[in-house]
Amino acid sequence: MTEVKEYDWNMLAGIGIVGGLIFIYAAYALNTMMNVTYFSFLGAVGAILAVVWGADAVRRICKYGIGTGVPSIGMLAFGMGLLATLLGLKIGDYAGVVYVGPVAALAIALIQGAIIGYLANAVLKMKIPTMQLGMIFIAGAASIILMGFTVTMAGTFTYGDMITKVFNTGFIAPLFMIGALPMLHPFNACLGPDEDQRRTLTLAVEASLLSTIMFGIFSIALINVVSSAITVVLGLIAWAYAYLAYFKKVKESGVPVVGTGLLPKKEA
Amino acid sequence: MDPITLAIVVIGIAIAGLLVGIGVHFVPVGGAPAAMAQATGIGTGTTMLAMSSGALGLISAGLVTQEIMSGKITYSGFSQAVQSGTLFSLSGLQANLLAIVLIVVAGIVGAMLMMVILAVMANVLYAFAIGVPLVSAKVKFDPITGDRQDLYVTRGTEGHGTPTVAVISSLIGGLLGGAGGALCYIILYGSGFSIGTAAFVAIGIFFVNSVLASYNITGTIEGFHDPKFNRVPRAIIACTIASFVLGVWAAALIFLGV
Repeated sequence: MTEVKEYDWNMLAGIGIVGGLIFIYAAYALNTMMNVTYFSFLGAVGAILAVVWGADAVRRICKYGIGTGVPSIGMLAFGMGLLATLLGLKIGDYAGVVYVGPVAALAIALIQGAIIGYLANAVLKMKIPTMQLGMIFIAGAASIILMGFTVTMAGTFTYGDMITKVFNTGFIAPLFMIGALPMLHPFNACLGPDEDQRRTLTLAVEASLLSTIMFGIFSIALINVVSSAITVVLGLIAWAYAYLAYFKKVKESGVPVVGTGLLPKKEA
Repeated sequence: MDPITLAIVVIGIAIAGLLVGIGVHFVPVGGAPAAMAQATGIGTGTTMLAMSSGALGLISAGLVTQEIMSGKITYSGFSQAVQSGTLFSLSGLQANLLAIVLIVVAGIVGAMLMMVILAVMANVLYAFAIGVPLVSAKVKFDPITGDRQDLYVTRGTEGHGTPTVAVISSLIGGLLGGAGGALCYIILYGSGFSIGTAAFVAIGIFFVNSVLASYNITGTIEGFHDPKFNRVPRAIIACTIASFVLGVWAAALIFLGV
């Protein structure tokens, strides 16, 4: 197998932050300016970029072995990200400028991640060199994923809408679980000595598209059938493409199993 | 919002997180080896265990909160205090202390029930389906019953099932975890968060503390008799600081008007 250079995680962080925010803002701006809800699916694109960023951070932390299983880190990320996101969106709401919200949410999540990462390395003595930066990254990624999928489900990310449409209706439960899943699942599924960054990240895209389809279905209740159908159809097409891409990656790194027939009944 | 209420919220969430963090150290987690009867403890990860007990604790705490709010359990002044968001001001706390204790106790009952079901029902399967004795490999004699342990441990394994001492330990873990989760929920609900928001923010805080605590024990522990239990001071520091920061975010959110 040829050695392929891994993507730098700072570059993925850049894509996650800038791309994630741009798509979330674009979805909200287009929706409100044109007074429609058809652009909600753009939020999922932002979330997918953040999922790739988060999944890469997860694989860089968990490569060292954290002893508790990979899923725990996704739950930790969402635990950190949830309150930070709410506070950030509330700041935007309080300031009267809705667009401040996601940036504030991301900033608070990054601070939260820095504190937790410091605690894990310095107090709990985990001694994982990538822990500090990795925790910052997964907390930020969780925040963008939460906002991105909120836009997919509800068409907006304002604090009031998030509370009334996502939290009070109970849709936060699937958002918390299937939102975290694409971030923690890829490395959990691909880990091992032959783990390959591109394969893991392809799985991250594939898993997040599955989540997108689910959130698209939920948006029937929160937005309307047309926007939901747009999200679901685009999600399904992209998912089929991502699934085939992942299947190709798996086949590339697979080992052929050759049939040799049964053992002879009598030794020759 | 007066500063004393905000201080109570921050300190309350820090205490709640600390209780969850210590509680995780008492829960016998065996991880995947325990699921194959090759290690002592409940056969799943800390996060999932903490989540299951925490969620049941939250449900029972929420049920009792609802019963007090709707008047099934008579407690005058509680629902007014919740609706005005003054439950955790100094006067509200004094007037409604018993109701808060009742809700926390409900959370404890839920979490302890879940823990004992997870520990004992799995034991039935270990004893009668897999056919292994319930022993711990970390101690020679069970600290509670005094039964000999080491003779019954299969070679190459680290014990089987959940023996008496681990069940008792899991109950203590459920007590602390349930108290922490319920306290967190009622603090958030009493300060003006809606039910869903309070529940999920509480679950978020619960997750942060349970995962940090499980990093401290590197995934598996047998209970208070395990040598790893001596690491608990580190978790006390880490969980208190982490929950304090989360409490500050929650207090800021309350200050800005939920």
